[in-house]
Amino acid sequence: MQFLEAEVIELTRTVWETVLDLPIEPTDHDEEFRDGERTVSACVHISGGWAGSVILSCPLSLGTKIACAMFELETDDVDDELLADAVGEVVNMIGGNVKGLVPGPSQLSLPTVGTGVHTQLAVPGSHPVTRVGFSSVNEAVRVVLMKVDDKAPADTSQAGSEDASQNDPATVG
Amino acid sequence: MKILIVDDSKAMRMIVKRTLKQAGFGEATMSEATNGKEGLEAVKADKPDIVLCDWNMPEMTGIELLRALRAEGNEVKFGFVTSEGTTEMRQQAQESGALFLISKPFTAADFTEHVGAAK
Repeated sequence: MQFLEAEVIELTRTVWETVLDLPIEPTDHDEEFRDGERTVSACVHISGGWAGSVILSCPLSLGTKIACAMFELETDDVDDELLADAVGEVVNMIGGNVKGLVPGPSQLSLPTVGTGVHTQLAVPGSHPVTRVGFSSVNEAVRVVLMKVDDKAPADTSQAGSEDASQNDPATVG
Repeated sequence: MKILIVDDSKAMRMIVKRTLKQAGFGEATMSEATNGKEGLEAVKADKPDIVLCDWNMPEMTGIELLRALRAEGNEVKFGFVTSEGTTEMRQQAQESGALFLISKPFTAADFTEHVGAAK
């Protein structure tokens, strides 16, 4: 069992079912996104007694469904700003609850959201400690906990850099 | 009843309003602000009966808003609706004069219990 794996599964499921009213199930493997698929990734950083990040990634099509559920809109009415707001709020809820499970006191950053083709968010000086794959309405969801390396500076207030070769500029949610 | 919702997320402001209606507050007049600074102005202008406020926001955080209000002698009823609900934050909220802290994700029952008790 990975670090806080059971808690991450439960938190993600609760957010999906309570806020979005969408089904979600953990899978027994790390969900892979299809080649060339546009994805959205959202990240919050925790700094203090425990320093790390929570990253959520899913196909853009699922991100749009998340925004539709939150704003009660049709797909065509979801723009980039609403998409970033909605997906950012999802990772904010998961990250806020993770913050309550790790040693404190600590601070939670505002969310950062980016879209692109097969987006990979990286947080320099950190390493993944938990990767959980989910399936929601037949689309892949990935939640990753990153922990700041022991010898790295504890300040993670800067947004994670992206593998930006094919990505759009990140937007702040 | 006048309820001021302060949250930088448009999505969350919408969900809070929707959940308040589900919790039986559909008749309330609801107004919005997108950060603590706007919230401070909105409290003075709108004179709400209760403020439901996020914690972590740009410009001015929720706890800074609450402290600013109390420093001015404003005793408006105030509750936090936030993704963070650590023991330290609950203690800070209480010591600063908040009535409650509702953690996200929340249900209509949470609002019925806490906002209803504050009426």
